[in-house]
Amino acid sequence: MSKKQSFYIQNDLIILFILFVCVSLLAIYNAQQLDQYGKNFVLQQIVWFTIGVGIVAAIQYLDIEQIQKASVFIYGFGVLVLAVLLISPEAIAKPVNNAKSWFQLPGLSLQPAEFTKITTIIYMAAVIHSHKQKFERPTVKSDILMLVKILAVVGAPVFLIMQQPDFGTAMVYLFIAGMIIILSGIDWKIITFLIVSISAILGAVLGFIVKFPDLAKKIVGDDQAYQIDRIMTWFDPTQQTSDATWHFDQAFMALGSGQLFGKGLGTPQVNFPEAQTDFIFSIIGESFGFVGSALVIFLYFMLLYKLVTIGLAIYKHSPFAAYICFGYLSMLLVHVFQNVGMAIGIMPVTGIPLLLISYGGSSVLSTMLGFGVIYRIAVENSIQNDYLFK
Amino acid sequence: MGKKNKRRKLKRERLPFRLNILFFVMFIMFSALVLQLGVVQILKGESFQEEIDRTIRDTTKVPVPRGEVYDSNHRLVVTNKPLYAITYTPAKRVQAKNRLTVAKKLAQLISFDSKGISERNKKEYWYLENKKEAVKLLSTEEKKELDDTEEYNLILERIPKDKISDFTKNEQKIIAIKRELDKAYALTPQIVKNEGVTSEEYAMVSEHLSELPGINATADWEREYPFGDTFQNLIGNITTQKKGIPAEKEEYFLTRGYSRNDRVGISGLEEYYENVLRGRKEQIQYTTKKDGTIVGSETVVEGEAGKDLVLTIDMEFQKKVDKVVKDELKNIIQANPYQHPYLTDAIAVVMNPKTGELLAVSAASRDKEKNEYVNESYRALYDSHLPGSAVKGATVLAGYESGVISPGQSFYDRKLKIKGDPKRRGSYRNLGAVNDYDALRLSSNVYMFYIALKMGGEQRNPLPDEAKITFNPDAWEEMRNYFQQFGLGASTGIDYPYESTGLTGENSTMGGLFMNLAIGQYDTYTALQMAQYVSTIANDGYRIRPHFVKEIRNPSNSSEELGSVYRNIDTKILNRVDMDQSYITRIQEGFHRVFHAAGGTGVKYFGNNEYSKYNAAGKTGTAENAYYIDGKKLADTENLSLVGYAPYDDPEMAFAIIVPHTGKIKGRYPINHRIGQGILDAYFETYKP
Repeated sequence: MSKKQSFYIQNDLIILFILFVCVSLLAIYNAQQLDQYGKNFVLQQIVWFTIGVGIVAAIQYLDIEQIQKASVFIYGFGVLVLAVLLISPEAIAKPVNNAKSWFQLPGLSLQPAEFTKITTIIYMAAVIHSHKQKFERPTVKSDILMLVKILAVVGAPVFLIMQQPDFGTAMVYLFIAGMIIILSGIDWKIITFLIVSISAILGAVLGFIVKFPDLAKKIVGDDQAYQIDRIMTWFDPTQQTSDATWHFDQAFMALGSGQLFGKGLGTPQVNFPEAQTDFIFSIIGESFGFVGSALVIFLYFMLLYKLVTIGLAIYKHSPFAAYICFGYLSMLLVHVFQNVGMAIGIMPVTGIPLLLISYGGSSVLSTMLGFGVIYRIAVENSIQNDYLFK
Repeated sequence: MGKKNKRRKLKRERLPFRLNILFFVMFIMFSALVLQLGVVQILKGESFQEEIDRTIRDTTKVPVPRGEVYDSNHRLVVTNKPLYAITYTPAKRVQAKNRLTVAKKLAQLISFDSKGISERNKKEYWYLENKKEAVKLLSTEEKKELDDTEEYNLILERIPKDKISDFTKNEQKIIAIKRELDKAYALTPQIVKNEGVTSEEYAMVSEHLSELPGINATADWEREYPFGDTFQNLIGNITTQKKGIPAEKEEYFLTRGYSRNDRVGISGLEEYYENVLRGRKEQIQYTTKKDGTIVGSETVVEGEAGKDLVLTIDMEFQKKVDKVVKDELKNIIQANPYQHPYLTDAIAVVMNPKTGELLAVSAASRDKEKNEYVNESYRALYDSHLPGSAVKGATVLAGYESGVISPGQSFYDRKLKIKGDPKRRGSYRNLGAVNDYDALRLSSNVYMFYIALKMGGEQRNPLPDEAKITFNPDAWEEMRNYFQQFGLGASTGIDYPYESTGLTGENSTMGGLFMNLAIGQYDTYTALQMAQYVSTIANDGYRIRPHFVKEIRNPSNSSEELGSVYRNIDTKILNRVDMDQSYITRIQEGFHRVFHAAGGTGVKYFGNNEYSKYNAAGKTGTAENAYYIDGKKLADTENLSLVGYAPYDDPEMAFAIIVPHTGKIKGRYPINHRIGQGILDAYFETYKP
């Protein structure tokens, strides 16, 4: 193996990836034992992962600079697809749970918002990079300008996603943007001001919703009234109707009943819908217990740690690449915290998948798309380090 | 290093610093996750597991075929006709829309009568099919104010008529099927269709069971009576599947392991022997996940078909007695078509005096308007009538036992005039001096009056005309106590859910009424009580419990023969009358003379003709029994009665006949005797050919 080739073998990332694939397949296999849908999800997930690996490999043929140059176009394309989704006829975009989030073609459903997470992260990174080149010495003014730019970039997809409407996914975008803003080097004062004012607004809105849920429902309209209910539940779980809490209660009971070591493979006892997707962590909890679940959380922590180190290392060569790492990190972080938090009852119930583990073509492929870019960045980092020590 | 550079360096280092903070925050967040995970799984885990284990099992009971009824010769009297049935056993938490899906699929496979679907059924269907449109029928305020049920009801109310007016035939069928599915309780089988299920439908549904969650194709049954109405109204009825257990006894049945839609006996032998006929239900334990999906089933208790009953009745004999009773009722009416306006019933009971086995229980009833005669044999147990002189055997025995007369004692039979009575009372003619035998043979009322007078404390013999009699009302109790030892005025103990014990008149202080009691003109008794009374005399004073069922048999595995005997209904002596055997023998002799000695009231029918070969003994009776409606006397009518047994020296059958409200005419058709003759013929023809 030549030295150049060896850069392409990123051991840490490969090992982490394989471990995630194993966890995913085992968990989906177990969820499948509930036999609710009569489909072989494991096999399908293997197909998705295989395609994903293909995507990762393909991305390795690109240069970081090429990606950077193309970022505006892929971002624009992503936003365009989100817009097209909204105006698509129901024949190809049938609403699911009242939200028009999916293209539903025969044999394939795609959720564009999953993919545009990656394209938006990449473009945000590009915008920050070019901004930093332009303003080598940041001032308050330049910082505010950058803030506006970032918000504009994230604003377009968020606006479109809110129209679907998919509140949860939109929140993920905002969280990613927030993390990027913090890491973009904008002055603390501005960030503090931003955080304080957003918290104030958010606090006021939530306070209003909790105090006057009926009025809030009227404002958001009938179609979205359930969002208000969800928020209400978060604050006061006893308020919810029996049917609405039932799904969560089942999943919660399943997870809890796993106890220290879990029930092992093939023996889930509690039945609940979406076990292979949004509630996969409940299955992990039931099957592998506290030990297994904690290990999965640790696995995510290791991946996040790896992203931090890669981002920090590449920063001096390419802030663009670094911010992609941070954006991807933010995305994983919010997904994991929200999804796991939901399963263990400290976060509200939202339909957010556990990335790299949950079953689903869109989430697997988009995550792999991002992973491909990260992998390319890691390779680039190795190459740069090699130069350095020559 | 210049100031500029220093500043720049500071700026540069913002990133690692912030990343460090971020990383720390991440660490805290993940630690929080792990901590909470520990709380949920390690601290609370056990209780979650307990909850799962607790709710995981359910037992369902599957009905088994009801026991059959055979006659004493093992001929089928009641059997089960199998019917194909399509049943629905919903899992827990099945939603209306799931039932609709099942109904739609089922509608493609079976025919279904959609008659009788209500507007509400249609609206519910429309609601499920047009939920979006339906929700728009409510304003936002209403949605805010009303709870889910109120909303639903209001929506149904508001669905415009035209929306539900033109459903296609198929849609109506779906609605009708869904209505049946909606009735089912979770995990309890409910019949969806059991009438007219063709074998094709049965096969079609069986083949598609996998697409029809909860649906099953089974065989239900229907009671069938090979002997038609013979004995049928004594067998009684069971509820339909639709009615299930009767509401007024819901608690009773539910605590005994019945399901709400079980068919139970609600009258007659079906009710009395319910607990053996029902059999043991198969109990299946379903292992259910928390959401209600069934993951496994295990038979906990093997089902066992209901036990069979073998009657004491020989259906051929029963049929003959039914015919005799019906024919004689026809005959008496045909003899004087206009003289019996209030005569509707003729009742007869035949039993084995030694074992209490009922041999025939018959009652024919005339529907005057339709001029039809129907079998209403339950009247033998339900209707009580004045028996007239037939009770005199008991009166004489009461006289012996109370000591007011001694065997062989004579009284002078002539009309008595008691002070206060509007007219003289006596026998049908003055009989002169009569002893106890004569009193029975000739049916002397006056002899009985003297017994009554003496029991009441009036000891004068002969009683002077216009005498003011002394009477101690304690005599009522005393006399009735003797009567009850024969079953008159007492429960006979029959194996039947209901029997009348007769009407008891008030304990008047007037001795005249007490004298009526002594000749069967005061209290009323059922034909069954009369049969028990004469049996007690025939059986040397042992009062035997009458019963319809001889044996309870285990369900048989073959259609050829009956199962093994589960339980014999043994002869049960209720009491031995508290009297000297010689007294009873005197009464037996007296009864024999009624039929065989010159002048006996029954000699004409049972003594000096071909019936004498049966060597029967008995007592005739005629009770004056005016017909009243709403306290207004419409006509003087008479009850004709007859009790007897045969053969005299070794009684094997005893009978009681009562025909109430015959017209009071001279030369009347002797229906009581004709029925008696018919019964004797039928008995000896059937049992002693």
